Amino acid sequence: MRTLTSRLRSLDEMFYILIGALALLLGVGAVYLNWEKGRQADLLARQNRRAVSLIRQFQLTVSEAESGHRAFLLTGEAAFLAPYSLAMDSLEGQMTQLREIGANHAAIGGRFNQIQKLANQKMAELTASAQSAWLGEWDFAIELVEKGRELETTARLRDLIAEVELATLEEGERLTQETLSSMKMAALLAVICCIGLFILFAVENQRVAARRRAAEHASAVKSAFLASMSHELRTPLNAVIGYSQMLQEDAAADNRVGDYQDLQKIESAGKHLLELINSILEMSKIEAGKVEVHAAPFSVPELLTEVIELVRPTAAKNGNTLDIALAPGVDKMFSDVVKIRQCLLNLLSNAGKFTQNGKITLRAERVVEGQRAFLRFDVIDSGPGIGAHELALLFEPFHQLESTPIRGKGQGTGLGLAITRRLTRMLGGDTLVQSEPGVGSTFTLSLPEEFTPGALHAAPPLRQSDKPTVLVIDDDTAIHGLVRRLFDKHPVQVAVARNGEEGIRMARLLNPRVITLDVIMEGADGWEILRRLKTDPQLSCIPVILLSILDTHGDSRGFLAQEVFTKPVDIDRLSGAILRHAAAGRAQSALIVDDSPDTRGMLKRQLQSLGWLIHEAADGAEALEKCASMCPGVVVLDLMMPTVDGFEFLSRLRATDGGRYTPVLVVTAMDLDPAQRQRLKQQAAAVISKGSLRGNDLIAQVLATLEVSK
Amino acid sequence: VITILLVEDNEMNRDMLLRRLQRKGFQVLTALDGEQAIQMTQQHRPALVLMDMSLPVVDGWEATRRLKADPATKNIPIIALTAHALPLERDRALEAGCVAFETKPIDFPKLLAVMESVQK
Repeated sequence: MRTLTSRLRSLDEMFYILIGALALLLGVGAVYLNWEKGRQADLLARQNRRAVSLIRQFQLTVSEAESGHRAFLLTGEAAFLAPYSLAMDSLEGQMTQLREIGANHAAIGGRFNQIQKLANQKMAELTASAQSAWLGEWDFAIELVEKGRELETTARLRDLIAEVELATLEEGERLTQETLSSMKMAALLAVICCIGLFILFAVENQRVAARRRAAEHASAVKSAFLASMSHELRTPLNAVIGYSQMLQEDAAADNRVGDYQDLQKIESAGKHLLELINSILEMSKIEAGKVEVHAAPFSVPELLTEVIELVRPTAAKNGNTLDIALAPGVDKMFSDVVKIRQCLLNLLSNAGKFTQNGKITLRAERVVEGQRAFLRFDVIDSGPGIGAHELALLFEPFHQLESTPIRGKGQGTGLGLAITRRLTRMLGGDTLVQSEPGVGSTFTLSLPEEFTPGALHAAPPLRQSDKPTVLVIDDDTAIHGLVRRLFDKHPVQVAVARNGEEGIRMARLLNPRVITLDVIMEGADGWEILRRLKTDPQLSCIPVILLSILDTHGDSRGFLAQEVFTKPVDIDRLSGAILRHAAAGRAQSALIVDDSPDTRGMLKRQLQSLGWLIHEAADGAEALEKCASMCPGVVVLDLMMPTVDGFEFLSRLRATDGGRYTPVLVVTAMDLDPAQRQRLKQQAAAVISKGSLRGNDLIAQVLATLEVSK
Repeated sequence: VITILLVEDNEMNRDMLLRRLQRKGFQVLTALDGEQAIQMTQQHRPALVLMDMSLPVVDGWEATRRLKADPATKNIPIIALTAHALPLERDRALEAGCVAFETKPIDFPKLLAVMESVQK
């Protein structure tokens, strides 16, 4: 659920990031387009200015030529022809420049051509007139001027020039207008994007705030409810306990023993209720994450002496003796002393309550696991013990033992162990239990010597009892009894679970050597339980024997199980199968990996005399599968195989959780080079040459391999 | 004879504690709310006040503050008795001016010990 919400939240975030990026892109695009437009407008404006100034200069040159020409005509003085010739010379260059501008100026290009044509015409007229005068044909020259033809040309030239000026001006204005309006558009777009983003952001903020408020509100409501519940219950309890104590005083004074005892019961019921309320408050505080760890250095021996003195009266009440066993090396600890004291008191007071005329020992030792040091506190009692099927439920809130004399007496809250386990886990450790009915129980607090915030609870595993356990998961109590009786005389412990859920919980707790599972149980799908057992990394290696009323031999779902029996079961065969798996355990099954069926057969025959379960695989890939499902105690491995060879198999096996430590004995006919030898030295327990095997050599080698790998 | 004032609005709890204290030889006056508590304290000057905190009319915290503000009553020790069990409540009561804090259900022998130590 949590990952789902976080994924949804990240989807939300992605959405906002996308929108933001889009807005940014639009903004940048708009700025770029405008800038480009502005640049072009600027370029054009400069060109226009240049065109206008050129054209004015051009006009000036033409009129200079004209006035020089007229002065010559009027006076006949050749000196007046000088500006005329000068103008005629420069006109040529100016016209070339005009042509250039006109070429990339569509709006005025056409007019430039006309201007040029008119200018040429004008020049031709002037030249013709000047030449005539020069040759003495004054009349013709004057006639030319008098006719006003050249004036007409001059006027048309002027008009055209004005037109060009106007056109360039208009074009400039149009461009400016365009730039301005597109800038306006871009600004508008940017503003809209900003507003949109702002609205989205505000809405999201609102939503987050609303969610947080709702969560805070819910938490506050819960806290307020718990506080007021506690208050409301305490007030009448005060009267109940107070009056019963008062009446006890009266009864004691009048020597009414019966009344006194009854009143004591009322008082103890009241106190039990009080304890319950306190535990619920504490539990809810832990669950709400309101309990903080205050770690500090303290002396473990001092703490133990202190708690022993505190529980001595309770222990003595039931006639129990109380001892401390302090192993050497137990000294200082850096953790939350208040919480550890509470856990120890809880375990010790439980032991005192459940044990009658027995012995309670508080044992402490220091255990080093890899890089970390743990302190292990065992509270060992000689009480009635706890049945295997109840062990699994022991740490569940409100679970109370069914079979103990304490139940119904109103002495436990059903929360003590749940709180203890949660507190020890907060401190990076765990609370564990081992128990045997009729012998006693051992509750263990395993805590890191030094508390490190954020460390997961990684306590060293409980020491397994030497007796192998068989777990019977069956709703048929007749089977429970049957299996129990079967193993009366054997060193095998039988635990029973009445349904699949309980079975899985107990399997996790007890780590049995073998499980029998009824696949057809009321209210549970045995096949599903089988699948869960076999897909749980902690449980998948435990062999499962299926029991069923129906013949399920042909059912493909049964392939996960090691054996299948149909009810009514053949007792001898079942006990044989259970014993074989239970006594053999993990260490005494082997997987032979070789591509040659003959070699496999030969190796199998040699190992069979051990009475082990022998699995076979024809190549590395099959072997990896078998290792995952069968968890062999030892692998006898050939190196040269098709597809996945022995080397690759080893590398891949060592990379799996289950196969990291599986002992592997390499039996090969290959001549190994030093690099290969080095590699095998790291990954395999031993390497033997195929040719050298004689008689029982293989068995001896396999046993030696197991010994080495222990 | 030591006179103490018991302020408690819950009838059963008042009756129970009254009788248990009387058995121990105290002279016990009772008040049902904070206002009465102030009035009775000013009038009778008890050696000690046992104050419930959740009270009608004027609550225990306010009553304590007012008694502590009055020079005539400020030296009378007040012990808070409350069914509020959270650690926060202790601070609240001590802040108001209480000298000690006991949660309900009352551990009677402990209360007697606290009363004794407070009077000294």
